[in-house]
Amino acid sequence: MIAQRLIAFIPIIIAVSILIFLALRVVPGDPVTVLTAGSPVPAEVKEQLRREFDLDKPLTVQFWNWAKNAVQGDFGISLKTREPVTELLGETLPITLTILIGGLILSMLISVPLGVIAALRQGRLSDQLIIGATLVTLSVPVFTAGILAIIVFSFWLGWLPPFGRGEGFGWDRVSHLLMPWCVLGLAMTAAQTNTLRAGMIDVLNREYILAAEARGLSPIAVIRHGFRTAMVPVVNILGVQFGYMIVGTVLVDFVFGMGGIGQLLVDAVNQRDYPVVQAILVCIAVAFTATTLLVDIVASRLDPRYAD
Amino acid sequence: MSDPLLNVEGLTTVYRVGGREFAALNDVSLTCQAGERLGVVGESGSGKSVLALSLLNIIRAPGRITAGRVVFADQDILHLRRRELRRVRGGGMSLIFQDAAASLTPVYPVGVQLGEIIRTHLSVTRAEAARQSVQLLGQVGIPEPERRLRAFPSELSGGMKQRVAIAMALASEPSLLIADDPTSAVDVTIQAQILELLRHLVDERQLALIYISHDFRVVSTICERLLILYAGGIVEQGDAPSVFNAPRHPYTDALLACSPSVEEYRFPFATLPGNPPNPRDDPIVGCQFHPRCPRALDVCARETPHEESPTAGHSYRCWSPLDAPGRGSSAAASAP
Ligand SMILES: Nc1ncnc2c1ncn2[C@@H]1O[C@H](COP(=O)(O)OP(=O)(O)OP(=O)(O)O)[C@@H](O)[C@H]1O
Ligand code: SF4
Ligand SMILES: [Mg+2]
Repeated sequence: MIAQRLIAFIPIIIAVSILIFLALRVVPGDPVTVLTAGSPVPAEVKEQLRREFDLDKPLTVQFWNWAKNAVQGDFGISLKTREPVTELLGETLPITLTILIGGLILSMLISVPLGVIAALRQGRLSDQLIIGATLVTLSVPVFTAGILAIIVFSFWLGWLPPFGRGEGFGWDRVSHLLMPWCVLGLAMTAAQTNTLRAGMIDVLNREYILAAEARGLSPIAVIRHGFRTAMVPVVNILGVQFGYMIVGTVLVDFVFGMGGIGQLLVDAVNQRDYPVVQAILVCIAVAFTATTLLVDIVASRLDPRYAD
Repeated sequence: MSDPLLNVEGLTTVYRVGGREFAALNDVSLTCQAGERLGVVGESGSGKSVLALSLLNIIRAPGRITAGRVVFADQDILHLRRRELRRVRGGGMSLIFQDAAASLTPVYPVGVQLGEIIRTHLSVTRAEAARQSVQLLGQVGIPEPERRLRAFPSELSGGMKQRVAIAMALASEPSLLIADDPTSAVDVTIQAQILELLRHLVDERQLALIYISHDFRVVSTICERLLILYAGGIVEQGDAPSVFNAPRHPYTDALLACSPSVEEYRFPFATLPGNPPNPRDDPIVGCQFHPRCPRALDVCARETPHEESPTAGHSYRCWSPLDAPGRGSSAAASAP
């Protein structure tokens, strides 16, 4: 099943790449104007630039050349800075992935125990408190939460640096990442907690849970018998959240000045830096497709009955 | 007589349905000696499963046990601490669920589930638990047990799941096995095999057995003593031959009359005329059976009959019992 999915993966990525490629050629704004920064240049210079960036060739040839290089990890050069796009990605992608994955882990660390406890104490005070708390996190946008965090932890308490990505692999790095992780992580916990709670409540009513209790298993063991099944919808939610989190990282980049892929994308769009925009969008598309594949793999690992 | 293994007195379990409480189990008393095989017979909805769950004190909302005592191996099951209760569940008495397939956790392989039960109740190493799991699967008649250990329940046939559920009930080495209609969910060809298997396993281990069924015939082939349940109450109980050959309660009689003969074995659901009390209706005053009873007297609609036990090892609750063989007690004579 996984092999089949992997094979289906390739045409999807090709189709998406073509779409992105075409879409970027349709939006207004001439790349040459960007290249020359709007200043008047002689026609022959423009002509030369067109040739240099393949813009004089038919679209099919342009796409073929781009795709040929992209497969080898070469996404061309930035119109704006003339740096290789791959290098720009190399600078921004790791920090974005670190924020995303860290936020994800953090949100799971919070939502798994909360979701299980809420389900076990369904309708009682602790359940209501948990639901209430997740609703609060849901109603505060990432942007606002980020600003608030900076005000409190950087300016009032002076515990954490407000901006930048930090250096190395020690405390300096962690101290810079802590707020982005928390802000992004908290944004994800509400949906995860409530999904797990609902899944757990459903599963705990099943006969096999009663049977597990009747066999004298410990409460922890009984919960374990339901947990995997209840986690399947949570894993699916994670797949959906991944999409939201790409938007989330743009905001986090903006608020905390992390210099991640979000910032790079916004800048590139503003400046009509096509090769950069295109590379990022294709990366996101690959990540998206890979995520849905990963979701299916994890879900079928959790519950052998999971099939699509 | 020595203390019975299981002694139940006045057990009452109510369910809250549509804002009103209804007794799914009403004032049930019974005893079961070590090694004894008890059969519980009743129509669908008579409270057989509720009885099984109540014995383990594992009734879920909206139900709850409101009265009675369950003493198992000198332990007061309804007032045990959680930890001790867990030791009894599975360890002392095991329950084979009515729908065996639904009682298996879908996300763990059979071997994991068996091993977990063994290690919960017996202090053995992981390797020893695995060895015992293989042995158990072999004993319940599963071919290639080593391979089946890795199978998920969904990969097994209905009959195999049933056998796995039996293996799980035996894994903890209980002294009382409660089988809740284990042949109602499997098809006819497998029913006989499962029954034979249970009989063999119970004999071999000298287990006490409470065999619950809607099928009189099945129960009377395997059990020494029979209990007839109607609308949550025991209406008659006694030694199997006595109850089977000379029922005193009109309900037992009717149940026997519509119980399938051996040739009709594939239609075990022959039914009595009329319906058992509906939990949603007003409670029935007097004998629960009176709206359906061909022998009903006026008193039956007013007062609940007391338990009568004119002969040792046979009792019933009826104002107008059927004649005992060899005695001329008339129906009306025993009514007040
Ligand atoms: N969870 C529940 N909620 C409400 N009522 C219940 C519940 N469980 C059982 N009951 C009621 O208790 C009564 C007895 O049910 P029980 O399951 O014990 O019947 P049974 O004798 O096992 O029948 P069957 O042969 O169909 O299994 C029924 O009237 C049923 O409606
Ligand atoms: S008490 Fe009356 S109604 Fe009930 S079974 Fe006996 S005769 Fe029938
Ligand atoms: Mg039942």
